[in-house]
Amino acid sequence: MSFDPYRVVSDPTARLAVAVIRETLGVAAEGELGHALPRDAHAWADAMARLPRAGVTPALHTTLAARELQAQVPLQVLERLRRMAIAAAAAEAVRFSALGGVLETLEPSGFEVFAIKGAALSVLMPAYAQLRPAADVDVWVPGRAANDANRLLQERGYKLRDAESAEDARKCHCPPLVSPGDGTVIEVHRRPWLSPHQADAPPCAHTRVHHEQLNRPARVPATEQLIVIQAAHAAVGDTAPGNLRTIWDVAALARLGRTDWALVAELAARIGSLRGVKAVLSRVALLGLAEVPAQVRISPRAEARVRLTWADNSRPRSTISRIWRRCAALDGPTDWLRTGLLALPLAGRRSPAPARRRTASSQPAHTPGKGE
Amino acid sequence: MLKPNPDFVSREVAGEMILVPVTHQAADLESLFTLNQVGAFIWAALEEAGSEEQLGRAVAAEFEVAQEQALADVREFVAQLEEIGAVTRT
Repeated sequence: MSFDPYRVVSDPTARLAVAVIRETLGVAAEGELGHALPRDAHAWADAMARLPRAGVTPALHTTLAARELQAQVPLQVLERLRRMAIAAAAAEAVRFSALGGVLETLEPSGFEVFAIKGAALSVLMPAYAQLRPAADVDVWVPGRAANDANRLLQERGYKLRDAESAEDARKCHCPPLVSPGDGTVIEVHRRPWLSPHQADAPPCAHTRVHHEQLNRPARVPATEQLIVIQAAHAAVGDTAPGNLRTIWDVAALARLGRTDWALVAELAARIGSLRGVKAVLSRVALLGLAEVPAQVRISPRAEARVRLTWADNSRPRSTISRIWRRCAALDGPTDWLRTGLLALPLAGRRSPAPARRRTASSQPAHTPGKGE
Repeated sequence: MLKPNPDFVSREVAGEMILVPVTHQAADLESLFTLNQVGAFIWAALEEAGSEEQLGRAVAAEFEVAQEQALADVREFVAQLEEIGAVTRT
């Protein structure tokens, strides 16, 4: 029986999104994208109402041009896609510049800053990143140094986005800041994932990447760690294993070079989210986006039940739904209870917000360049 | 000497080159500039060719047009770039 990447996707718009993703990754067959395009204006209207939620409209514009398929698209849809693609590319350029500003503020003061999530993708895969709409710039300053880093940024003109809330106290990052001038939202993470496990240690390994738009090389964690960060965010956070943008990110990272899948499994297990990470990686494999070995996939029996539903990408989550999803993504029974409590609104009020704690020293307790 | 402003960066979107002022709000599409093929070439060449005359010669060679015409086009384009603050003259 031949492999069918669309076996797990029945919704026509979701199939189009998957075709676009496969096209950008270079795994689509000849004619695959054209076959997935809506056939009439009504179907296009339906697709355009939902596609932006999957974050693939800039990529659709680019792949239509690359495959010379624009003639199959209504003119007003083409123009809308073009504007979305330009806006996404411009936003990525602004976010990248904002990342440079953060690095220039923090690194000379001795902070070890790692670009993660979309910021890491911008550093590692600029052409891919500009196709991928994102809302903020995420950097990881391991452990309590993140609070000092957030404070220093505020001293240098970065403003708090919202009033600090109890919600922030239990999240994995400091209260979000707004970059002066361009208004980019900056999140300084103490740890890269929302997990009941303490994960304040620095990355297992990292590289320094030079980019022409940055005055200094940017640190990014190892690809394996980035894969776990993206997958764990989807699985443990408020999205879902079926979140297409995350699946796309993970696949792009997996195709970047030779992935040490044993390390992926080890890192995921270390934060108690191997189940959730496996759920995401199975979807990467089922959609034919990258080769993923069985050791980091759910069982073949469980894979046979996987269906990508469009609601995964768009529906707001209730508290009960969030607790359920986190529990389903975590490995141990104790984690089930702890993550359940973490999701309750009252839980955050019981402990002081790490961001509000005053540390004994205003200097970060680490050495610049460590681990290079 | 012409110098590109580092607060402007270019991005290619499906064959179309845009110039982005990175100090502006990202969502502000009105602040973006679309460059045609010649404009994109001049922007890329600005870093190395420091004068309008040098740019004019480069454009004439690349697009096989008369040097006078190329220089006139370069001057007009550079004036537009100066107006938006994308290049400075030192």
